[in-house]
Amino acid sequence: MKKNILTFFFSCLSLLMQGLPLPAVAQARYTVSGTVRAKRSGENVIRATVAVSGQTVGVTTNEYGFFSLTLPEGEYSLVVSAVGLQSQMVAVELRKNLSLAVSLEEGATELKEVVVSAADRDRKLSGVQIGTERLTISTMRSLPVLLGERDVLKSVQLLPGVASAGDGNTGFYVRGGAADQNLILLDGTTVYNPSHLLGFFSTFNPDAVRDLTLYKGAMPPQYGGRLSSVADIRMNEGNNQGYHATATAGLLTVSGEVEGPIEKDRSSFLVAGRTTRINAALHASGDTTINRNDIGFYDLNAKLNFALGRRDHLYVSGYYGRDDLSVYNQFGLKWGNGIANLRWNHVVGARLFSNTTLAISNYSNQITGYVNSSKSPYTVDASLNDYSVKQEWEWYAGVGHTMRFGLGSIYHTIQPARLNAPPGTGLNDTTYQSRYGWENVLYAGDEWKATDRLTLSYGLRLTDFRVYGGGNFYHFDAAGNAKDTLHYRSGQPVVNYFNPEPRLAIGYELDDQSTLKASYNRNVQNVHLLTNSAASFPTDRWTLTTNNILPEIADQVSLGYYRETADRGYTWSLETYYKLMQHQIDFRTGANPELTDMVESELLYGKGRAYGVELELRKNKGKLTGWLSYTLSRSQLQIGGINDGRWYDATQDHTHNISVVGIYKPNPKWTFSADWVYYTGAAISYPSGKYEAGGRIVYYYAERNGYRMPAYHRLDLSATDELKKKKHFSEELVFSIYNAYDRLNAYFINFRQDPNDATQTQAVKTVLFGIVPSVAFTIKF
Amino acid sequence: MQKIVCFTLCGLFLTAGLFLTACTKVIKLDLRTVANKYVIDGNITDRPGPYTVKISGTTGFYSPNSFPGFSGAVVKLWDAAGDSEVLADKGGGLYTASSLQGVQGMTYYLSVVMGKDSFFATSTMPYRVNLDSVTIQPVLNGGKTVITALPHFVNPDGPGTAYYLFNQTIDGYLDQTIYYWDNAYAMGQPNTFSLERNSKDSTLHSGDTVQVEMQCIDKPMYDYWKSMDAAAIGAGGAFPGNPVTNFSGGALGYFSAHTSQVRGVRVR
Repeated sequence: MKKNILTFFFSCLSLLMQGLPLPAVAQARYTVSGTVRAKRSGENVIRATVAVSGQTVGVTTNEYGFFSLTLPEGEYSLVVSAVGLQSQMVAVELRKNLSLAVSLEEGATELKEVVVSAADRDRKLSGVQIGTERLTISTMRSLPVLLGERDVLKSVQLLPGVASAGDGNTGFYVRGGAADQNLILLDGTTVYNPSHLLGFFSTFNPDAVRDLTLYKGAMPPQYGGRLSSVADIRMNEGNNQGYHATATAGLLTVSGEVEGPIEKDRSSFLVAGRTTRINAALHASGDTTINRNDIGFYDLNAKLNFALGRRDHLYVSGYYGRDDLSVYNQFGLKWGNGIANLRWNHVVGARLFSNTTLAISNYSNQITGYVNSSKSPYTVDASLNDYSVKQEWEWYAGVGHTMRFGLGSIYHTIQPARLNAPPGTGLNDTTYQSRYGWENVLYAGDEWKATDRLTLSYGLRLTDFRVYGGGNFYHFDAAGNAKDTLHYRSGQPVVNYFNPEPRLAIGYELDDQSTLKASYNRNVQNVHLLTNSAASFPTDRWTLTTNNILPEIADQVSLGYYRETADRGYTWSLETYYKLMQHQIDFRTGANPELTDMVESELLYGKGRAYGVELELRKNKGKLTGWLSYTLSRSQLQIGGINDGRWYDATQDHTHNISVVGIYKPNPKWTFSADWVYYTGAAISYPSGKYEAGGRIVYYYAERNGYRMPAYHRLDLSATDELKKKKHFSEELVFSIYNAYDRLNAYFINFRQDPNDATQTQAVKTVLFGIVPSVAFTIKF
Repeated sequence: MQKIVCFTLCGLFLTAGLFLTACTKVIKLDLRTVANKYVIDGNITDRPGPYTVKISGTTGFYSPNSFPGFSGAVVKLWDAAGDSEVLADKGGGLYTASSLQGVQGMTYYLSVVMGKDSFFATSTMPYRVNLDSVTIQPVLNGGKTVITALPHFVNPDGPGTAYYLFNQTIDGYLDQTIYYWDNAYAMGQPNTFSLERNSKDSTLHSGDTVQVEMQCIDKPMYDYWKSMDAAAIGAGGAFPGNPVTNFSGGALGYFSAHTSQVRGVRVR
């Protein structure tokens, strides 16, 4: 069966390739290809537009700055343009295949905002991808922040269809999906836990990041592995023209970045680091309940890139971060990610671009506990490792076709817990079973500009997931008791799943100012995070698909309408979607997944559905820019064993979600910005009564998620003062106020006996952030 | 392992509290009140009876903590050896047994018929793990020394898992913290975990008289206490829900056949 599908897939592919070449009678056609780079830094430019002047023909550069454009023999003027850079006109005489290296000058600062909006306009109206959002670091830099710390993932939460997982939290929900259904990529490699300090910071140092693209649904076939979204974050490459450095001091962290050429024009490096300074403040306290504790994190980004001749380019990038929380002689918690990858770009021919990636991704955490304050603690370690290899091709087939195809393989290993207990702790060394999975992917897709107005993107992704022993695998009865245990030897196949994921998107330009788009896609997820609370903890358990946990599958259809004013000053868009999710995972009541090796005994399975409308209005020009986004949505689950099998609202269901963002730049020196967010409180379980059993008051819950948290809203303000701005030196001071009107948003609500009246019970909300003013200082040279 | 995770979560909140501007506030929520549900609280132990079964009901969250009992039910208790008795209705929802004697290793059955409703539960009394003594143990909690009670016993080295529940009574008041443990990661080891309270006033005080009851319970009762703890806490967004009862028929509460030993200590 599977073999047949593969054969079919390849025959289609080859047919498509053979079918595409040019009509026999047409005049000779040649290809102009090359790379677009920024002149000042030598870095490649992602999504630069290369268009033929006076025609509607054009292409955009890929994530490595490469483009290829095939045209009939002749003379052309190519206009090369990109965000934040000055457009450039290049005259070409196309009598044979040509190779170009375009370097764009930095755009004037005052124009920056306008140019940013131009990129947004490109995104919204042209092309075919629906539900795609792009944030550049310059937009993120203008937004107000919590505690003076800019954050890539918090900026994302201001976009339509994206909801925050909690106050000040970097976790987010896309279109009603859970937080673990977002694939977070740094330079193409998965980051499993993108949070520092229990989620109040993301792992992405803003000094090292240049660009984020979020696919909320209709992702192209080269992406996959998670149900809801892909956040594709790209690191800066490093300047190959001159040395530069940035240093920032905020209230909680200090960070710095250094970059420069290894060999001018050919190779460069970048190193960025960040660390907290909370410990210094804690240790300075005179209170022994505070000054012996540690709270902190650090992270390090590094990247090297080498041009090896005109056709080859090598990138090495890495990230390493660690968090360390400890309460003196009581407990400690450390966690962090380490990722490394090697990418090799090769221009096979004028129309064929190849990229090969080798990568590893590790996530680990460690709990340290001191039994009765003894000196020798026990530790519990958990880790996850991915080893992956990927080969991708991009083929500029001509006559409007750009094809991407490739294959990839990831070997996953998960060690859920290893208890190391020295003598005296009263515990025995214990190791939970490791799990092994091998994920293989094959995909092909074609973006076809069928007519001037109609663009089609279609493709297929095939995901094969294999589970291997050794270890015990179980069959469970309805109550979650193991009724059968099967032992597998190391390397013995346990089960495998094969899922085709079709992807289809259509874009039709109704006229010069409006576009209609539609899409259907299927996504499959084989790595799942088990979290039994709304707040995610670093110790939440990752698990692979097994004989009991089936691959999660989502089918999504969406429809969008995009319109702009004639002067392109305003754009607005309306997107609507419906998503059906299979094999969703939830917990039995009172489950605690950390407590058992046999975690599946605590799980229940069912399906989910999410639908909604997202409205966005943007102002792109003038001293005041910004956007307003409104999402009306619903996300529900139906799980056997919960609420008698009825549909119920998922935790991430927020009916209304509003973001208003304004950025005002009266002069080059000052930037003022404000954002206001509002969303319906999360669905949650509250008691509908109480009783007494075992000498204790017990709350009675009539159903799962039958109530709502109070509505959340917050206003943030920020002012940036560019103190000095010279060619090689600049200073910047940022003042921010988070939660300016001091709204006491509930982070969680719990129930207790009234401490002043033993005959009563009461509800208590915990508020994490009231009004929080902050200041940060940055130097660049 | 329960203890380990509890440490972690408590510690996390504690740490978070150290640097955040966290504050708490009592709020009034619009909570529904469901129609009354029967609550059965039944116990049989290896100590001499009389054993009691209490039948009460639910009330609204914002109502006072008084739970009237229901009399008039037919309550029958029997064991796997064939001994059985119908419990005497003492009024106020209290029913007592007089002849049955709890024995370790025995499985017990309880049925309650109340008008049209009937409820049934079963529970097996495990073999006792001896509670040797209880001593006072100072431990650090958030850098502060707190006084706790440490039960001394040796975890059996199998076969199977042993499950325990500890009830701590301080000067006659039951500590509301639910201490439920097992020996899964401590087979053959002497216990080292002390009873750390989930309470703001987490310490014992000089002069306190502390009674610690150690119960050896079966797996369903362990699941009951574990899920009751989750329901009771409900903090941090953990999905709360009703404890997993061993009653069929829709009653809340539990029927527990357990061993029971009490040791006391006075805090100097």
